[in-house]
Amino acid sequence: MTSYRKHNESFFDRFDESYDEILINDTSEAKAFLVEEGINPDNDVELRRKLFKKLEFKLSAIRNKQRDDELIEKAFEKLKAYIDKNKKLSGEGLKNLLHETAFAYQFRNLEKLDDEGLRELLTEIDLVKLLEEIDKTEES
Amino acid sequence: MNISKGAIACKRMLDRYGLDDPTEFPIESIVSGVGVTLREQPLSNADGRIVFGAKKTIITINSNIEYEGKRRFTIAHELGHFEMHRNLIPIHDDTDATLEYFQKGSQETEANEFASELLMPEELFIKECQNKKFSPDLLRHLSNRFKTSITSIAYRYFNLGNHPICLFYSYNNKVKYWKRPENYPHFINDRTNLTPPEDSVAYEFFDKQTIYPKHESKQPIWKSTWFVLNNWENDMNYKFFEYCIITPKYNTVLSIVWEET
Repeated sequence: MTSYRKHNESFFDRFDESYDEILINDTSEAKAFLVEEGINPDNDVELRRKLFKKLEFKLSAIRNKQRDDELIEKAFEKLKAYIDKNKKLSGEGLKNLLHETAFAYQFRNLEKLDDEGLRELLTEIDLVKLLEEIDKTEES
Repeated sequence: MNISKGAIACKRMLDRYGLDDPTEFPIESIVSGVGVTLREQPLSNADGRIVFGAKKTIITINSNIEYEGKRRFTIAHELGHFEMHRNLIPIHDDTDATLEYFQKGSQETEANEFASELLMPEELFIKECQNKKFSPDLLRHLSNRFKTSITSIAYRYFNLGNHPICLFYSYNNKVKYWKRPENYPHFINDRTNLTPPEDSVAYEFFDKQTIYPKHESKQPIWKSTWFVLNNWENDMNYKFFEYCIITPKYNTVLSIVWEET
């Protein structure tokens, strides 16, 4: 405790000696002063930058999750019709629909998917499209 | 050790969002944070899938995945595809085969490297291993610390740990792959596509379904069990051990073999 107090006293004592004028007007002098006092100002700035980004990211995660839940709920209302339609199809019919619905997509390992897998895939492509549509409508 | 493309992509992503220690965040929040929609539902023939739209991306994880470690790894793997391959593969399915660690396909390898770095960051992993002797208990400790499977911990330890270990992966009573550290002083008897050695712990499982309890999971073996024993060498002079990570459901065994001096 003694050394901590002594350290702080010396820190503030030096301010008392009108040193603050120089420090305010000269950034490099201010930085040198802090380094001398055992504080790395660059490190501090970096830490604050990271902390800010981290907080921003956390907020985005919460906002995005809420938005996703809302959009998915709305999309699933509309998606039911697609799912019912897909249920009636099988084999080549599903593959053709997949190519029609998602002509812009490439497919990997399509031949390995069974009918259920193809239906799942179609549902997800439809879902992505619906999410984008709803999002766009609500934004405009 | 060279840093992999997947690990670089992960470090970049973490830096972009100021995440020093991603293990502080639930993996689901990281996915939401980067703007990807995460869903869980039963999937046939896939552990995870990613579908890229023009603006939206959906990652779907098979809700029937039993192990939390595997679930987290699958999410991190798909996130790796998002970060690295979103302009290359609009739809992608991942099964046990693509999530498997020895997978050579470059995009799969990259996604696995990304997932490893995200769930077990190099710096934190090395720090966690410091001054700790290698043992099955250490792997269990790391598995709890990083909330990943012991299998993924074993592969990470192989690359970053401070004690050399060798890995032998067997499936259906056949050795499928093995790995030994570079410059390891002992050479492996290549048994790829053959049964594991008869005096190995892996063989005991395939032969008699023996699974040792935790406190006996470190089993002594001979050097000659998995390694070449030269004419001038005596098996009695070496202290080798084998610890098996067994997944009866898939009939797989990952043997971790190491020497103590």
